[in-house]
Amino acid sequence: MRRILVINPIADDRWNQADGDYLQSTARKDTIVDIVNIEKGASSIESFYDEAHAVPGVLKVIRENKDRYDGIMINCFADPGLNPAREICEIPVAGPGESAMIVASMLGHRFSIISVLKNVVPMFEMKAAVMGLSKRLASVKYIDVPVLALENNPDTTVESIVEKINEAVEKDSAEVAVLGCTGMLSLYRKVKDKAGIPVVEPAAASLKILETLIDLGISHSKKGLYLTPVFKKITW
Amino acid sequence: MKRIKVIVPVNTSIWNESILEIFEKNKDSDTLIDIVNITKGPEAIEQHYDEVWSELFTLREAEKAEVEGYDGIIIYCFGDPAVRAAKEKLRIPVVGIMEASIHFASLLGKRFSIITTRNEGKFATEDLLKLYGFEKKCVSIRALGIEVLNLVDRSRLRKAALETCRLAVEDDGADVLVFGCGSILGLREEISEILKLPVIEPGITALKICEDLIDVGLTHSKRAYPMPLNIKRQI
Repeated sequence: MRRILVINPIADDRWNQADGDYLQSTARKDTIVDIVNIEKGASSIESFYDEAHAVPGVLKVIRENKDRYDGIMINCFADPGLNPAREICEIPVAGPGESAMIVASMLGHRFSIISVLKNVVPMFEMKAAVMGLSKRLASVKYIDVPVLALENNPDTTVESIVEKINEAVEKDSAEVAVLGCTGMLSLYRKVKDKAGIPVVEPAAASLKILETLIDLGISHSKKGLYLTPVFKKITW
Repeated sequence: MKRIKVIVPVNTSIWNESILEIFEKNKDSDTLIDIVNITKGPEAIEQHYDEVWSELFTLREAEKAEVEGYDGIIIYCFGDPAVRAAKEKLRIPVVGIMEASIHFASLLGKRFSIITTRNEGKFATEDLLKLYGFEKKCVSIRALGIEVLNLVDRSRLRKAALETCRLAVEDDGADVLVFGCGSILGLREEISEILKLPVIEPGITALKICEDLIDVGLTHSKRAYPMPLNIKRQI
């Protein structure tokens, strides 16, 4: 039995039901997935600015709930608050962006990320650089549809994503595609069926990595990168 | 139901029982595991020479797996012998234990250290680190100074591992440790407890990654590992 808390790092509960159902159905039989959103923050995350607004709320949810769970997942490709969350947690914390890039790296030499807006291109290139995966990242592409409009015309969005995957294969020599937004998870099946290469859906990748960490009793290292912060008064 | 074939790519079955025991303990409830060895080739893989001896026989076992109806394969040696060749020929997930464990280790800290068997085996590990692109995240490769076949001496292994792991942390600054041989078994939890950091046993990590890939229906890209041409090949 594993208890996993999924945090939607936005101030909106509109995705909770669908995301929770999807993740519960992707989870192992004896995993319980609870999902919450944050109270204050942006309604979607498409920039460093939005990401910064998500972090305090994410950390608040984690501080208040971490003792009741075996693992935590921050459900956004930008992984807002992942590093500080690990600093304050002994239990594993997973992020879809990081997890998906690692899974993609095991499936081929070069992967491309297909995301929403131009704003996220440098964000994800920088994320790959920090992870040491720049050489594996063929490109970051965007369909120019904001997160909140992804499901307005789902079939058109699927077509746009598949078109970008094909472009990544032909122009950038990508061998694996990564969906660069967890808001695309409802479109994943259709994209997967139409793409000619493996497509990694980041929320599922993150959930699986988290289940694996819990099963093996392994968490992030507290020796260096994720040292517990020195206690001090913090107000906001 | 997930059927996984574990190929221990050496011509001896001395490790099978220990591996199976650990795998049975850590697998999903709906996973079925079969372990096989190769019936020719080396009895241990210490360096490039042994890898080459192992690869063709390992490849044959891997190729059979798809016909036998397996959902995934684990090639159980840190040298990842025949892993890329098997990925070219097969469509089911093929997981090498080094590939899985160093990708996984990179999620857990800033820099990991690999604890291997002999100094002479380091070069093969260094080559693979470059191939996978993790040479900068690996702060050191340290050797126990024990040949693979002598790892059955549990007390010698434990003593050397405790000392070597401590040096990797204290002298090299590693914050995650990865055992660089599938036969360094039964020490993960103890060393993790003593040194207070994550210790990765590559075999079970590969098992979980293999299960994860099967669960989400992912396998390697045929763009990266294209199907070999249908030409004559003879042994």
